[in-house]
Amino acid sequence: MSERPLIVQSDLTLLLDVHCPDSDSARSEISPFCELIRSPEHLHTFQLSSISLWNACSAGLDARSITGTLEKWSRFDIPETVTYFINDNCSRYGIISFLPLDGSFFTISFSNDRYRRQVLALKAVQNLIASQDDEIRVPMQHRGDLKVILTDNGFPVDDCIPLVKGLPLDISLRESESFSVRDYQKDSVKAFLGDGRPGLGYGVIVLPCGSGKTITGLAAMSEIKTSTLILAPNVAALHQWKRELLTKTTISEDDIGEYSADRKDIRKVTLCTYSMLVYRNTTDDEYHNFNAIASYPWGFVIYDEVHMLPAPVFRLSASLQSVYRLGLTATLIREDGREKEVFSLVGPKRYDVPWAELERQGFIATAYCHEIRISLSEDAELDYALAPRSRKIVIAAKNKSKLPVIEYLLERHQGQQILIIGQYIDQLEEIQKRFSFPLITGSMSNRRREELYQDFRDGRIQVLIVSKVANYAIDLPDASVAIQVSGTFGSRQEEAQRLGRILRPKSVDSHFYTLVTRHTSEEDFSLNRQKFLIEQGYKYEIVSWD
Amino acid sequence: MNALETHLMTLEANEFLDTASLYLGPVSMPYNKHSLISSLVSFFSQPLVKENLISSITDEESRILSLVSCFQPVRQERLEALYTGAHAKSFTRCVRNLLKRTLLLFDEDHCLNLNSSLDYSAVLNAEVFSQSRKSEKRNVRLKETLKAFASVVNTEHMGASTHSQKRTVRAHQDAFVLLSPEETETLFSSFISACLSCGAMYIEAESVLIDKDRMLSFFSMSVNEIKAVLLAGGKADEQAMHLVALASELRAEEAIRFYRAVYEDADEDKEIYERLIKLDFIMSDDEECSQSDIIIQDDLSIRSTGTSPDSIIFLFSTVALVDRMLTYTISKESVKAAFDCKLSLDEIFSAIGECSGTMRTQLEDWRDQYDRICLYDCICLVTDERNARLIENLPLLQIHIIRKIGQNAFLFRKSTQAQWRRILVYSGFDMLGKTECEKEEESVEENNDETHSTVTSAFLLSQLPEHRQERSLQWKEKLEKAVNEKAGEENRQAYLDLLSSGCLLSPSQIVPGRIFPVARSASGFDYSQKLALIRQAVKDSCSLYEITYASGKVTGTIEELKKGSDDYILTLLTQEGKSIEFSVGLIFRIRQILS
Repeated sequence: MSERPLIVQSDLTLLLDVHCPDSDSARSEISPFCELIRSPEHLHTFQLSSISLWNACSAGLDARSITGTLEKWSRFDIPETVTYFINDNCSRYGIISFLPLDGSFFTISFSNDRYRRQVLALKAVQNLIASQDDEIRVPMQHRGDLKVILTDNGFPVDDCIPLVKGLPLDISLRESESFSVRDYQKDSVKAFLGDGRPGLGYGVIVLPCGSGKTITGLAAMSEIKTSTLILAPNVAALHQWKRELLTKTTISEDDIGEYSADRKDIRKVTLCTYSMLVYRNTTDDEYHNFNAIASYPWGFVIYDEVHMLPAPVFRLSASLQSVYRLGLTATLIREDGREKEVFSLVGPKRYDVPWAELERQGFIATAYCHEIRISLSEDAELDYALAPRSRKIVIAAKNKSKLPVIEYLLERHQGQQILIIGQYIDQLEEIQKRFSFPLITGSMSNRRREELYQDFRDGRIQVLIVSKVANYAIDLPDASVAIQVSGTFGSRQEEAQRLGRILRPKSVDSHFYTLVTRHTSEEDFSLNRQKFLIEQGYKYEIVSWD
Repeated sequence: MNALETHLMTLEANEFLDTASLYLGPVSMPYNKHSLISSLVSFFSQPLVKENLISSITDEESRILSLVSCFQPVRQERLEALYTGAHAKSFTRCVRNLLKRTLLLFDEDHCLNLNSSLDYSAVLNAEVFSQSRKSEKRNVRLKETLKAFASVVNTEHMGASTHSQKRTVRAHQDAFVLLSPEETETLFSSFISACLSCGAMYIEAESVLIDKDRMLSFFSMSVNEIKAVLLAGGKADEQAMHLVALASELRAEEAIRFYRAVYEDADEDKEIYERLIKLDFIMSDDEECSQSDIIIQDDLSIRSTGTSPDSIIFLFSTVALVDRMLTYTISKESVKAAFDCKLSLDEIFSAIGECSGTMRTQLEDWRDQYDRICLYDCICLVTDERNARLIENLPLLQIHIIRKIGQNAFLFRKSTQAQWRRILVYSGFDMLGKTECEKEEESVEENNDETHSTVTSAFLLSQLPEHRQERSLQWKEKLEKAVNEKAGEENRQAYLDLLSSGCLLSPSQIVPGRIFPVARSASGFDYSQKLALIRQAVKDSCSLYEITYASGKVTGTIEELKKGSDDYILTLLTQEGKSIEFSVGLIFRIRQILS
């Protein structure tokens, strides 16, 4: 095969042959203007899109340099459609700019009359504009919404409004022998902040589970040094952030506030869950919590597990458009396809690294994935055959024949820290009854949950049964085996997050077992669930139990 | 008898004598035709004559010869139809001259052919088609695109209706980036239609299914044969092949015009022309499939820059993208479709080559699931225990039994019912009853496997170079020198006329004192003689005339004589196709050029 590593396709995807000697160089040169979407064993796929090109333009690239890079690495001629797409999209950037007016308003500047007419003709835009004579005035709180509308209509915005700095925050990292920021974490922060000019300072960093996203957030905080709101999916995650802040930065406990059901503390660094942020008593009520939090002079918002951003937060986050904002996640996939909204409201993806790459460098544990296929128990066969489609997956998932498999795996990995993860509480309770391990569910109090997590960390408990509350953002560094007994339909994100529970670096390799009832819809869903991880380079070993 | 002899034999007596005297000198009467033919053949086989023949070909003549080379053997009137108006007269005159010079020959059917003893490669070119050439050649990867279509049909269990076809192709439109949506739909529809016609696809239970062997046979054809099959709606016949050859270089409308002009059976099938116009976008594609390494990944994707003609990848996976790189995806549905096509697991593994254990296990698992239930379209024979033992032990029956499904029940092949019935009757089951069935079986016509034809490929226009090679005029200078040296004053002009018309090929033709027919001419000052000659010349479309005036001379055919306000005006059409008008009253000499 030719030595050039890149194949540019007419559907705007780029295939990178990782076996070519120059593939790493090519990757680093194309990453600024396209997104990595899958990275299996031989050909990694990148996607060119309008948004990726506009982001590249906002970082200073132009059509010529982008096309030049492609021509440099491409194995074949660049299709005309691709060249046209790049030129067309890049030419649009810079025509529309947001410029500051005063603290409450900004203006839209057009360098092209035709665009001006087209944009101002949009009803949705007219609804957001305060006045429009010689100078268009737009209230600052509509900045995010307006950007979304313009982007959706093919008009990229060069946002030249400097980000608002909140209250100053004295914070530095406490690097030592046992803790230092890794190169890829530094690179990600650099990609996020750039040189500080308008157009940067907002976006999403995608790093594999267990690779230290929290540290990345802390590193960004230590650069920006301003009042920070940290949003996370659950209280356990908030406590994990607090622990990290106290152990790895110079910030004091007095500067950290928690806004939760138990406490309503707003301080220079405040931790809050998504659900708390958008909570209201009735649908007609105001978002009191949000109003209270949003009124504080924030300079930086961190969205932990940003892929979980619930719908109301999308709308409310629009009003937090003037500040630095960082989304952190391992899996920017939503089965509802709303990742575009994450880009529009939080910011574009600024940094991404293949999981396999970090595994190779030893920053995440080497994990082996196994799918164990088990026949449906005889007594459930007829029920399965007669059940409606939506019920079939439940019957298959709760297959009693999985119990002996669990027993076998527990024996095989005796002495190691094991998580048993499942979707259905009654199934998990049955496992608990059979093996007498502690079970953590959503109905358990936060305090009791934290106690059990700590016992697990300290090794006092070796096996923990967890429901989907433990899918995200809990730090269990020594878990090296995860046995997934059931999952949420075909959720790729859940599969990746569950694998993430055992990816923190440790002395032993990690094993992820997923138990699937063969020849049922669970097998089909399982194939979809595994897609993301396979695309990240993980291989599933399929084993037949019977 | 060789082609030249055949040609000479077909000439009328006067023409033959003219030819003989032109090249051999005066012919004495009575003459022996066979002897003269033999002498003429010798004359034309001289290397110098052959060389001069080729060198004498003008640009216009080379275009005509190029046309003939594409379509020979071809009737003169068919080619004439491609020329209109004044150009048609010029064409006729040129062909007459080329025949006289044996650059063109008539065969037994009075069709035009090139003289196969001459080497025309320096003079043939595609300029005759230059106005009609396709300005843009597209490579749509036709074969790979059609394989991709087949993969979609195989996986989707597409219905037979047009609506279902449209829905199916639209759902996969994103995979076909080399075509517009309209082109994809058009090509898809033509492909399905052709495959149904030739048996590569068939309809069963209202779904379109693939016959694996016929489909592979379809893709074993060359790209041009496949285009012909698409054009002809299922068969690659000669007509379709010729149209494909023309359309590979010419715009569809021009290709049809040329074809209808040249071929006698052209008017019979108008549907083929409509299809050609619709499918014009694939006609310049000439990429044959070439295999490259296949890249298989655990995300069940298969990628390659090209597949071999016998590749079966499209039978067990579904297209994701046809571009410089082909991308297919393996899925449960596509593998099931492969098994339905009677593709075995071993064949799939063989096509994939090296793959991970995970993929191997997954495919084996799907096969296992597929084999859980077996459906047979056959006849179930149920009997008692005693007769079951008998049936099990009759040797001649065994090849007709698919399997035993119970203690006393067997599945027998439907297709060989007549044979095993005879065996059973012969073995003592003479009260063997009629097969019970729900409805009458319909007799299934065997599809004639006429996917292939034995038609030889038509001449491809792309074999003609774009431009004529430049030739030296040395041959002319040498012969002109010979004329000046050998010919007398009285017939020097006549020899020079023969030289300019290409009929003087060898110094041996220059015979002093030779008598030539008198060429008509009129001097510049004799108005009435000029007018009379011009009137005759207008009716004579085959002769060339030379007009000499004060500042020069010009040669061409006299097209028209009309009355102006003060004088008669003659219109001369030059050999370059330019029209020039002269007032007859002007001082110029006009003379007929001998040819």
